[in-house]
Amino acid sequence: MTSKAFYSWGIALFWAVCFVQVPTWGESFPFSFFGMYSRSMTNKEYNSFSIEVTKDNNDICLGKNELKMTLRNRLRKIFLSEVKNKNRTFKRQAIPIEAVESSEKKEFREILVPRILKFCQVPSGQPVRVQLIYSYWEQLNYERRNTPSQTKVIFDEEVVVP
Amino acid sequence: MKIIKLWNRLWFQDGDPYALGVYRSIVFLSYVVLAISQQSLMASEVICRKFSPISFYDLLSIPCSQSLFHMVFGCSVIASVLAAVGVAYRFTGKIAAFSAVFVLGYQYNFSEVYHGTHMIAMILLILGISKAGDAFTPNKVHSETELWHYYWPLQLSKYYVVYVYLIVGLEKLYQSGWEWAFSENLWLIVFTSPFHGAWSGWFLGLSMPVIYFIAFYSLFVCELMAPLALLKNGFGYFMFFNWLGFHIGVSLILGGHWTFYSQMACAAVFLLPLIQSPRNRQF
Repeated sequence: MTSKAFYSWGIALFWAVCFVQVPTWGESFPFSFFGMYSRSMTNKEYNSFSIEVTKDNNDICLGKNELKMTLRNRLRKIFLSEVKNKNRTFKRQAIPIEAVESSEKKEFREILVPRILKFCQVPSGQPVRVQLIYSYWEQLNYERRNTPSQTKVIFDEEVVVP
Repeated sequence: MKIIKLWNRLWFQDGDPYALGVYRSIVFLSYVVLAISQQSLMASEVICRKFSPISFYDLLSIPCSQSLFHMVFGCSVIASVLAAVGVAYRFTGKIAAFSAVFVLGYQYNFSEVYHGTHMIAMILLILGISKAGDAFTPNKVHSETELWHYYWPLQLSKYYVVYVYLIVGLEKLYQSGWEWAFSENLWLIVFTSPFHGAWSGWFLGLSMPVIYFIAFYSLFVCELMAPLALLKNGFGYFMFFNWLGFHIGVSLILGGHWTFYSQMACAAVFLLPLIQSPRNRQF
């Protein structure tokens, strides 16, 4: 076999590896690094917390990304302790809904809500409605567009900034 | 016979060893930067996350020990530095490429996705087995190598870069159709992202038509039009700067995403015609 023929086979094999994976790409169609992407992605569960701060049914805190991050990190810490007790391997995997349901509302009221109100710059003395909603995807698709498997309102109270 | 001629014209024209050498340096140095900046992440990965072996890692008895992993990691970095410089490339290039692919792929066994490193892994493999160390090196290379050996690695890298961007665009169309661009989809992706970019808040406050335009531009121009880069050098430059802007935009809006900058080192193959080779001015 000539050298060119050898490299030709190599190039043909390279493209074969890239394209033969097309049927297995499934939901995570794009990348083809020996099938690594699809297998790890389609096994992925995912959760998200959303916050709604409303006054007279108008959202007054939409798009506050800092708020979202702070809250998410804080919630993770709260729920992490729950999960650790159950001996689960956990870091960036989804928080199970049982852990969310069993949490004390006091934690939200005393730690999270004051932060939320501060971030949203809610004027003192005015009542606002704060809702924390947990969503869980058993299997999140690549575009994050499928409907969550479970959603749960974990906090829904009217609060006033002192 | 005509097919063989076409095939040879596609992959085996006379190439420029100098351009290939420059590209080798860019890609291997980029891996060194990527690996060193990800070192702490890689270590925590191995300790903390759920082990779920994939692909050929199934065949190995991993997770391997921390010391073994660090040894392979160190080996990949040192060999990559030597390969970037061009020292004993036929040896260091292969060691660097295979150990780097092991290190980059190893993270994927812990239930996490770092698809920003796929492209550089493939390009490292292509360069590792090529004769990319014959120029742009302090060593004196007296090579009688035929010039087509310097052409196919660059050509294959170009096609692979284009393939990745194109396939990502096709995937979006396959999954969501044009609604991917002309719906609240991109807004939702940013809103639900666990990361936080410097421009996330600004982006989420934009009006929907502006968001549609951004989504359409990234899908159509940056991804679906990627094959244009193969037609002419000018299109190659245009697409390179499009991709650069795209990745900067994504890291500012979506947050994270910095491993994707290694893709820009790979896409630098489209800038090589700008190099004036001392040996061969044609590329």
